[in-house]
Amino acid sequence: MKGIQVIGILVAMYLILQTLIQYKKGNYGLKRMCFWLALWGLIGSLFAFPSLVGLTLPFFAMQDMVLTTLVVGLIVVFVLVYHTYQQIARVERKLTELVQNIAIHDYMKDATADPKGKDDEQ
Amino acid sequence: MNSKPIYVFIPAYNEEKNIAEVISGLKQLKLNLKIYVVDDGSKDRTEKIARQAGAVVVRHRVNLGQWAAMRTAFAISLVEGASVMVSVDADGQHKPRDLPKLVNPILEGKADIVIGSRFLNNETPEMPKYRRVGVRFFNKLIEVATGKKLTDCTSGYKAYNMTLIRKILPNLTENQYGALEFIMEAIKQKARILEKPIMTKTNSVSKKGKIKYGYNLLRTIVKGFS
Repeated sequence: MKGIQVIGILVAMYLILQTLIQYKKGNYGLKRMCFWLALWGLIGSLFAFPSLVGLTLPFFAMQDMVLTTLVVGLIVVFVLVYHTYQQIARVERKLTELVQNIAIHDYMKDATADPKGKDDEQ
Repeated sequence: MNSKPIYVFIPAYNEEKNIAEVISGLKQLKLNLKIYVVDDGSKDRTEKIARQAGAVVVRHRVNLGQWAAMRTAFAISLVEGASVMVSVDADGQHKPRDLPKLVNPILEGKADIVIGSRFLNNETPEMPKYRRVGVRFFNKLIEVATGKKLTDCTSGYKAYNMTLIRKILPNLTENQYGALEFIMEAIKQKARILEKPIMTKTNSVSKKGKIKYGYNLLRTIVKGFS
C-alpha cells in the first residue's frame, strides 16, 4: 500500500467519524448522514482499492485511472461548492428576513407604546 | 406641496459624524416630512444621535447592507400607508433643497421613481474615477438590456411612488448593492422613471472597496437578467 493510499484512507475514516459525531449531536438528519457516509465511504474505498477506478474507465470513455479520478473528483467538488453556495445564500436570506422582521416588530412595538413619539418629528 | 406626509428614509451605518446634520438639513425644509433612520447595525452612536436629532429610528440588530435597510424602509413605509417615500444617503452628500424636485413629479402623477442624478447638471461630482466608470458602465448595461437611458442608476437620492414599491418589494433580494436590481425590477413593471439633476457635497467618502464594489454591481446585473 502506498503512502498516499494510507493518507486517503485515514482522511476518509476521519470524515466518516465526523459525520457520525454530527449525526449524534443532531446537526445532521438521517438522509444527510447517509449521503456523507456514502461519499466518504466511496472515497475511502477508492483509495484502498484503486483498481476499482479501472472498472469505471469504459463508462467514462477514459483510459487513464489517475486522470479519471481527478476529473470525477473535480466534478464532485464543483457540485459541492455550488450546493454550499446555495445553502449559504438560503441562510443569508433567512437571516436577513429575521433581522428585518425583528426591526419592524421593534418599531411597531415602540409606535404602539408611544404613538405620539412616532409623530414627533416635524 | 401635498398635505400628506412624505416619508424620508436614511439608511445609515456608522454615520455618527454626519447623521445629525442630514436630519437637521431635512427639517429645515419646512415640509410635511416624516424622517426615519434605518440604522443598519451601527457600532457607533448613530442610533442615539439620530433619535436626539428628532428622527424615528428603526434598527437592524446586525449589519445587513444598505439595500437590506432600504427594503426595511419600504416595508415600514407600506405599513404606515405612505404614498411617497424618499431615500437620502446618510453621509451628507445629498442636499435637502433638491428633495421637492424629486417628490413633485410623483405627487403630480408624472413618475413612479425619480432619481436624483449627479451627472445631469454640468458639474462633475467629485467621485473616484473607478466609481464614475462603474456607474457609466452599468447605465449602459441597463440601456442595452431594457432600452431605458439613465445617467445615474446607482444614486441613493430617489423618490418612490409606493404603489410601485408594493409590487416590486417581494422581488428584491440584494442586501448590499440593490440599486440595479431595483431599477431592473421597476422597468419590468413598466415604471415611469425620471431623472432630475442634483448637486452633491464633496466631503463624503465612500466606504466601498473598488473590487467589492465592481463585483457586487456585476453580480446584481447578472441576477437582474437571469
